[in-house]
Amino acid sequence: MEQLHLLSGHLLEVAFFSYLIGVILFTWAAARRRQPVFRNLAWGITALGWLAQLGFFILRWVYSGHAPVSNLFEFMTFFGMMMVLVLLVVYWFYPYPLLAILALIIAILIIGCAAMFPQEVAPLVPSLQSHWLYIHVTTAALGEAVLSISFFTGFLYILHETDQTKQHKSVWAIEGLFLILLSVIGYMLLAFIFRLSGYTAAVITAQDSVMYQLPPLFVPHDTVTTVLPVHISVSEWMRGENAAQQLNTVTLSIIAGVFLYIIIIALARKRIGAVLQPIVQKLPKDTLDDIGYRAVAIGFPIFTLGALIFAMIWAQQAWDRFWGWDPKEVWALITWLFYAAFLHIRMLRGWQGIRSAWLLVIGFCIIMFNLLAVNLLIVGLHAYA
Amino acid sequence: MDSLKKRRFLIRLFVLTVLACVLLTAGWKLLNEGKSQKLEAGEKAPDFVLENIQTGEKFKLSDLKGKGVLVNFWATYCEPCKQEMPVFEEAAPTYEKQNVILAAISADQSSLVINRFRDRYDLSFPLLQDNGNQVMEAYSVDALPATFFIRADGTISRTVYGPLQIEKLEKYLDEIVP
Amino acid sequence: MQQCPVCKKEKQQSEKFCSQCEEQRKNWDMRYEGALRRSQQQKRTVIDNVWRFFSSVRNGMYILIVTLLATALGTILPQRAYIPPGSIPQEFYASQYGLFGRAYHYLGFDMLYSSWWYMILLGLLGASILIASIDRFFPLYRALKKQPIKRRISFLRQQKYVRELEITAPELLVKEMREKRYHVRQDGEDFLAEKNRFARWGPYVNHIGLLLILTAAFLRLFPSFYQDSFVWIRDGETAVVPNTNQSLFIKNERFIVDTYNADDPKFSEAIKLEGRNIPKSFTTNISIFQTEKHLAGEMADLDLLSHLQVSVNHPVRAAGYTIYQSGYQLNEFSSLTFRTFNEDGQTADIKIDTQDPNTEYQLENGLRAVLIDYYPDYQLDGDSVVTVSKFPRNPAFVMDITDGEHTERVFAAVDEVVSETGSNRYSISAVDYETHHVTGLSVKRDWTLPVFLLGGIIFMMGLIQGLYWQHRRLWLHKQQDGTYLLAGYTNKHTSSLEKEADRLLDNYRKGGRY
Repeated sequence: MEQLHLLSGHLLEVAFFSYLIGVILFTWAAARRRQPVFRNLAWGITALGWLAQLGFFILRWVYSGHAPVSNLFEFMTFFGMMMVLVLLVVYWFYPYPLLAILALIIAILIIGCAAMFPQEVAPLVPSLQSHWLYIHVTTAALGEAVLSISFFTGFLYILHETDQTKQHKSVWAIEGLFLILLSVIGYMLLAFIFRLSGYTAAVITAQDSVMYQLPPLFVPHDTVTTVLPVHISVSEWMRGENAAQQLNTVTLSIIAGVFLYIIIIALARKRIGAVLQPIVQKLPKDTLDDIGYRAVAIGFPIFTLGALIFAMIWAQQAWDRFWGWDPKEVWALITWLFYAAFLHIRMLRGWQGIRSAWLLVIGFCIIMFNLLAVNLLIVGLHAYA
Repeated sequence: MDSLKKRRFLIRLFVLTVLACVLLTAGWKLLNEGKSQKLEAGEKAPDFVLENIQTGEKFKLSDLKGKGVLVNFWATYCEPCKQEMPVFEEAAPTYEKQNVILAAISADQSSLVINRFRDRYDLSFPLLQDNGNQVMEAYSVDALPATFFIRADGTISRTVYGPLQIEKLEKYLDEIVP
Repeated sequence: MQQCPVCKKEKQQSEKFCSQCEEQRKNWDMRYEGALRRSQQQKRTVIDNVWRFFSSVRNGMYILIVTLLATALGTILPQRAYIPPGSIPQEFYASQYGLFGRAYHYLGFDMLYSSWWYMILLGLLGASILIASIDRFFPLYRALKKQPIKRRISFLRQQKYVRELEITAPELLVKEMREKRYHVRQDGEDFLAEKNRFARWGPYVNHIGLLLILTAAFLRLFPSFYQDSFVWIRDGETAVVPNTNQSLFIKNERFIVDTYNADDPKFSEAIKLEGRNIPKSFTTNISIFQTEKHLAGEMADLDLLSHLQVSVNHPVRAAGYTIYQSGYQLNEFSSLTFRTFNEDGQTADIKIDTQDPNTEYQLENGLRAVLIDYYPDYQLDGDSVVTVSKFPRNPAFVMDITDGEHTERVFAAVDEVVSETGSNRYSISAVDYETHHVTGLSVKRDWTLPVFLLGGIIFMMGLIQGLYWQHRRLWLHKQQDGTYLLAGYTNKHTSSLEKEADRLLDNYRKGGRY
């Protein structure tokens, strides 16, 4: 049985690296548009990676006895997997390598971030022991993955349409999005480097000691001893669980992101948006707009079913009420309200194209906020996932 | 055309009126939330039967038809309740002559606790024990103390949730003298 | 100079249409077939104005966005339902979140989702959904029901998909259309091919679902539709279920907690990380009793209805109510045992039941214990001992132990025995205890659940109907010069319609009949 667990872990690594190779091959395919062989190869490698991840999922299920969607690590890897699945299908109809690259990068980042959370196989507490757990989580993840596609096309549309010769709001908004993306990459790099070197730092506070995996720049307000000579005590009102540690991680990630951004700017001598615009320019913008709308039209019902209806049926059984205003479910409702608004607003005159693309970006930010921030900042029933 | 317009107007008026009614009902319901559960003056006091822990006799409310009854819910661990007990003890004999019975229903679980309390405060009026909280439920009492003044005909004359204002006790009791 | 494709007047080379047609095109609204929406009429009363406000999608979107922002506002700090039980809201928000928390509590954001203004927002949203749907559905329904097959040439040229065709056998093209499951009607030499018209009703169907859900939420305010109660029941005890008119009683036969085995290699890591045992199941064996005319305070005359087992995720139904396992209190004390030594060193134990302690205990070694006082849940309040509840969570006794000559007064709790006379002549100590659990059951009767479920199902059906199918129409019009004009309209995803129509033409041409 232990072997099964090990094997499933290795399969996830295989999937991760296949997706990385997929990104490289798709980039190649984008550069050499004439040779479909690269495109097919890229799709094939990604599909193989996806099969490996499916293997990871099934083996982990067999080993633990329950569907591996019960904590943040498991849910995020599953979400990444659904994203790749949807991409593979969408690519069949709309073979744009750029779309594939963007989707794979996001999927890789999500799976990479997932690996930073505890990966132990945890037993299910009584309220989670329900078939509705699998049904609710898998459908919700699929719905969110389809909705993510609309973000990818929306983002490409914005890159395509924004005039990079002038400096205005949307130019800087695009750079902001890249900065967030680079910060996530920065976080992964930092975590990887410090984990590889086996770095830990103990910060001793009045009550207990906190183990940091990154250099403790920010420490709790009641710190007694720490390792860095330079450090900042966070204000007393930040009392959330591990608030100082989380602030530390976020700040270091942003610093790393800014650092990466500066390197790229220095090398390219242009804004990232300006670098990418000529590449994106070849994409048909009306089709991008259309795919975005279509993704919402397909994803919205799936999301409604999975994240709201199935969730409510389960909640009624497990917690004797179908709705409890728990932060995670409130944010699912907000996501739902937002996409409902999107479907209506798009019908209004003048809201197609660039405006609708920006709405799609906001929608994805809400999904990501619900995925990560709600768990880390606001603790509720969904503390496990 | 005119009749069509009129019909349209009536349909709109109807839909908007229904919506307004729903909204008003919802608002009214929300404002009165929790109130509807409580017993109010004028309602019939729910009957009950409990054991008088001092005498071991049954104390049944409906047996006291023709007499006014004060029913007080209390517990030994409830501070404001404790302060009311000597006041009841003082009033009990005077009002018994006027056919008003005072009874205090304790939510405590063990009779020992109530007995010791009675000894300490030297109480002689009926103390009843409501072990399964059935009577408390019947009177929809969710916080102690709570006091009900019941008329001779079995209807409630007054309810006091929370501590009594001791100077008003006599006035309230006079109201239920048959 | 070029010809404008619509009116054949001259137009600028760079423009697609002439300026006049462009203007017309901009204002042309195919969404409701160009049918005049009823709310857009000229003369208005107050009722018409209110109606007009709610019938606007734009206004509906404002309400929706405000609702969205208000909903998000409620997650900044925990709602009152999620603050630690027993804490006083005002103090909790002020002490945990400072000035911001104080303001948050003061403005009532800690109970935002049941606030009057949030209810009003939901009500406005419901009004908008209802009125906007009524205002659109009927004109659209009429327009689609009696749509002409022959259309004006200007109407056809306004469509997004327009092709000039020189075909000889329109019936073969119509056959292709039928093969694509178009429903084709003919009027003279003009054809109208249409499919999936039902998709147009999707939004109205899903709005009915939403309104049903809002109605169900409204019905919940009435106790005849929705009742919920919560009971704590000790092992072995019977409790009346509140708000059932004293007709339903539940006996807790036994509450059982099962935990995962910490030695299981699969889960040992996670359990170690958690730092405590992880529960596997919470189950209560219950007996349900029913009675018709119950006199409060009486325990007899209960009729056993059934024995059931309720656990988390497995609610049971009985007597029209659903019973959920939804709380527990572990390890209340059922009894304490104290050991005494008499002068000769003989021991004897006093076992005191915490539910109903005796006043006196005669011990085998000749001693006698008299219970002076009992605190079920004791706490020190300054110098004195008080009990904070009636539940034996931390019981303490004051006893006089005597052998006839010497009397010793002791304060005895499970963790300490203090002699008030100072000598502890009888070396009293707690040696044993028994515990029981308390189960928390939620008992509900909710007739709104079927309405919610029905609303959900209708909503999903409407969504799928409206979003997974597209209403497509193709008009084939014979022009005066004998050529044909093919115009297409779809309510969404124009590119797919274009693809389909082009493929139709392609197939027609491949048939070699061009």
